[in-house]
Amino acid sequence: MYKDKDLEAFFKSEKHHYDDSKEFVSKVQEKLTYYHHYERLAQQLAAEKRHNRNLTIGFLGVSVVAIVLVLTLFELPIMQDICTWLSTVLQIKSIGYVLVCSILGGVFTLLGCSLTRLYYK
Amino acid sequence: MINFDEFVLEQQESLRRFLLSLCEGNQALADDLAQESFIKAYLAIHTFSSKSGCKTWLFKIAYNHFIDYRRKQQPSTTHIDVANVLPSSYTADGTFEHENLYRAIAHLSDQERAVTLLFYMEDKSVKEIATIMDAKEGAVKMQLSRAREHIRNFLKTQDNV
Repeated sequence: MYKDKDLEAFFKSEKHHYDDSKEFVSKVQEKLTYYHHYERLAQQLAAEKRHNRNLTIGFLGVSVVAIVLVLTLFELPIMQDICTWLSTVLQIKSIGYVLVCSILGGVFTLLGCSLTRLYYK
Repeated sequence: MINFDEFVLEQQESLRRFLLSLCEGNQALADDLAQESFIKAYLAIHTFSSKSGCKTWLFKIAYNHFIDYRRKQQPSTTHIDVANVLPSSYTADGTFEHENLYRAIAHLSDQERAVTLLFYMEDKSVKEIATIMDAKEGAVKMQLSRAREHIRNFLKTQDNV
């Protein structure tokens, strides 16, 4: 007949012992190293994400400023002089406001974006 | 501050043994779970309070990890290798002697087996088991007595066969 004592004795006698403890510890260490490596990668990724977000905001900001600037230029009398000068240089009868403003806008945007990129580097 | 490597070295045997029995003798799986439990413990070291012992805290992490693993698993239809439930360096005679007991333990539920292993094999008190399994002491006592009863009933039916 089975008794509680038998169960106790059974578990005591069947206790498994390991002889690869050191290997086990080094496996845990190895996994921890991997974990730290991945953690570092994840941190880098998060930092890159933040950086990209800042860049996007910067680009958008610069583009808006460039558009405002171009729209302001439309109103300035100097624009007429620039257009006349450009027509002479390019030997075209007349050059439209829109084209000049687009070129200037593009130049401003490129300049602004380069500055933003330099700033966040 | 404890040295983590020393901590692993000290605790690994009992934890691996416990998980090995829970994993029905699947040594690779048990070792994987044990390693992951140690890493979880390392990462959660700031949550450790000396209220429960270090070992109890580690067993709690391991048990929860095992339960999570079991939940993710599809219900197993594979046959449990009875001899692997409790791995031992038994002799041929020893196997014969304990064969029915092995079978009885293999037929226990995960919770009952965990309670039985912690109580009899790892010499944990009911209070410690309750902390590990996140249960009340009364519930642990109940599971322990139910596990004993199941073993007894199983052995009785085996004797009658």
